[in-house]
Amino acid sequence: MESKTLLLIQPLDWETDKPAGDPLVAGDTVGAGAGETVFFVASREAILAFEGWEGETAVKAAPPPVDAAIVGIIDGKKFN
Amino acid sequence: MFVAKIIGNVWATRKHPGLKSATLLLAKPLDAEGKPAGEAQLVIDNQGAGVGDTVLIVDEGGSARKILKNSKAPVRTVVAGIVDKVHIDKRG
Repeated sequence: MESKTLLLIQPLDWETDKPAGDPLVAGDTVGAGAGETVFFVASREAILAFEGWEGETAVKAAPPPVDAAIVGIIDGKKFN
Repeated sequence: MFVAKIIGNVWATRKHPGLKSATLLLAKPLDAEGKPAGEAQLVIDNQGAGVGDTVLIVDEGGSARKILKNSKAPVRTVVAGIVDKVHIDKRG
């Protein structure tokens, strides 16, 4: 996990924005920071977020052994 | 797979390169009677689904990547199709 940013995140309910479940540690792939609302993938897919995507140069760096990865920063959402 | 209703849109400018061309939607699972059941979740869409549509959702990474035609995309929950009609035989 060397040189990888790990962030502590609190899952939220999509409809109420209230905390849902326990906080967890996730590797960051998008440059997120404290206070931002993000979405993440867990389990096997978390490694895929790092594998072969190093800065989009496809450098074959060893993917970190993470079980959660932040894959996007949410700008907004709308319900109809 | 499960059936869900699309209830909202999500915008994210900064996202993983594997999600670049995908649309983000909020889907609420439906029970057998078509009523909302369970928590809303984020789904990836490349089928052109929109708010109000009933959709079929795959919740497994390998199949999800097949649908997006990207073997490296870090995804798990993807719209597999738009449901026209669900028929349940009441005799069963």
